[in-house]
Amino acid sequence: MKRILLLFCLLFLVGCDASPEKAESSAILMGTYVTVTLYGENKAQLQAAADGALRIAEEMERVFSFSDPDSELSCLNRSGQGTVSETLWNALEIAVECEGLSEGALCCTMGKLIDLWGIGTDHAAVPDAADISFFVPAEDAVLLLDEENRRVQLADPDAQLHLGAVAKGYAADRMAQYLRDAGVSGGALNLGGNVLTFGEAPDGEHWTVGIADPFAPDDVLMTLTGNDMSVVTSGGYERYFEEDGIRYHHILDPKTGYPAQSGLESVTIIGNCSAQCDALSTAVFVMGAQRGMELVESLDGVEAVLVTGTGELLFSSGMDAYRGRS
Amino acid sequence: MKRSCILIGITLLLFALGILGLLHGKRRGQWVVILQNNIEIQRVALAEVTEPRIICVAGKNGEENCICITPEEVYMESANCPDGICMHMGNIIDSDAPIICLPNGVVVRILQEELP
Repeated sequence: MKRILLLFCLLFLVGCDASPEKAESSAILMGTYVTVTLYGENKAQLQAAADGALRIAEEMERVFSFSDPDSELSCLNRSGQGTVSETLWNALEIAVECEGLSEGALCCTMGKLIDLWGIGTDHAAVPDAADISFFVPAEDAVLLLDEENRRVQLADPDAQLHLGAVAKGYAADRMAQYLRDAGVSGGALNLGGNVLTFGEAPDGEHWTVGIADPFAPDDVLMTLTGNDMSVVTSGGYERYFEEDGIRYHHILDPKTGYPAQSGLESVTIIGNCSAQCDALSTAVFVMGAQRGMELVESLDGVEAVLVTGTGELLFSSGMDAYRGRS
Repeated sequence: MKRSCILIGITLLLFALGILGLLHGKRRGQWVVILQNNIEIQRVALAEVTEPRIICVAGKNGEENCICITPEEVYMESANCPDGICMHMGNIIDSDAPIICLPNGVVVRILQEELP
């Protein structure tokens, strides 16, 4: 009988286990729902840090927004040239590097083409074919960068910068850095399809991140486990519209000006730098399975999960380190 | 032996009362919070909702979202956003996940909060 009493006492003790405090802050920013979830010992400090991280996202929105006429990016697009902030410059460098690595599968100067399609807005429609070909980015370099002076020039008056493929990832990196500097021991950031985990998981072991099933986005296709990882997914299921029974998604192929038809439904990139993962997920989606996977395999510390149009899952060679349960 | 049985009985009773208290407290402390452009515009105590209530949120450019709140359900009844995704997010009354209407900038979430 004493043993039973002891068991009850133990159960109560387990129930009173000192699990970490949790604080959460969220808002619609950068065109998505941003959530900051932090764990630690002092709830008030955690909440202040979570709110501070959201303010970083607000700052990033003021830099990168394509639709806000007062953003730094919009001002640059209007003037066609200028000296830019360190934030804009750093993100631009990552995007341009990915443009080179992907042989143009990612392009950060097709703002007018993206605006023409209007996917995700109330004016989404299939544009006139002539308009599409007019705004397809030129093969020649239209972006002139002067690193020493952080000066940017758009050589083609019809080119407009659009950093949607890298901005949320860059914001996640900056927010995580802010939280680490603030002494937060662990947390997770979710900016739409961009997830970043850092520090200690609440269970003291690993963070678990789910990858959405592109054929049923409310369902989890598989889970990844790890620490200090960025997981970014791009998929045709995220934003799209339908016209005459055809689905037009938001990831445009810079070479054709139309939504990419690469045979992939979604691309998930896992790595340490969220901005790089963000850019690569778009580029690999456009490149397709073979070329995309070759690119991923050529990069250190970057892994990928590709879902093809037939539902087949393709994994990069180092994915075993992250794979949870299917 | 007899004293041990009494102790177990008391422990079980306290345990059951605790569970009941937690469940009751959770319902009493549930709020439906409606945000528009990241600003809280309405907060409804679920304990005070006895029959279905529709709350409509209008935006500056003609946006409109109507949220249905009943004692058992909270869901997006209608919305004039271009994608209509928010109307398919279902009932969130027992969920940590909010209803998000990105185009109209509306978020509906359930907040667990202790009553004063």
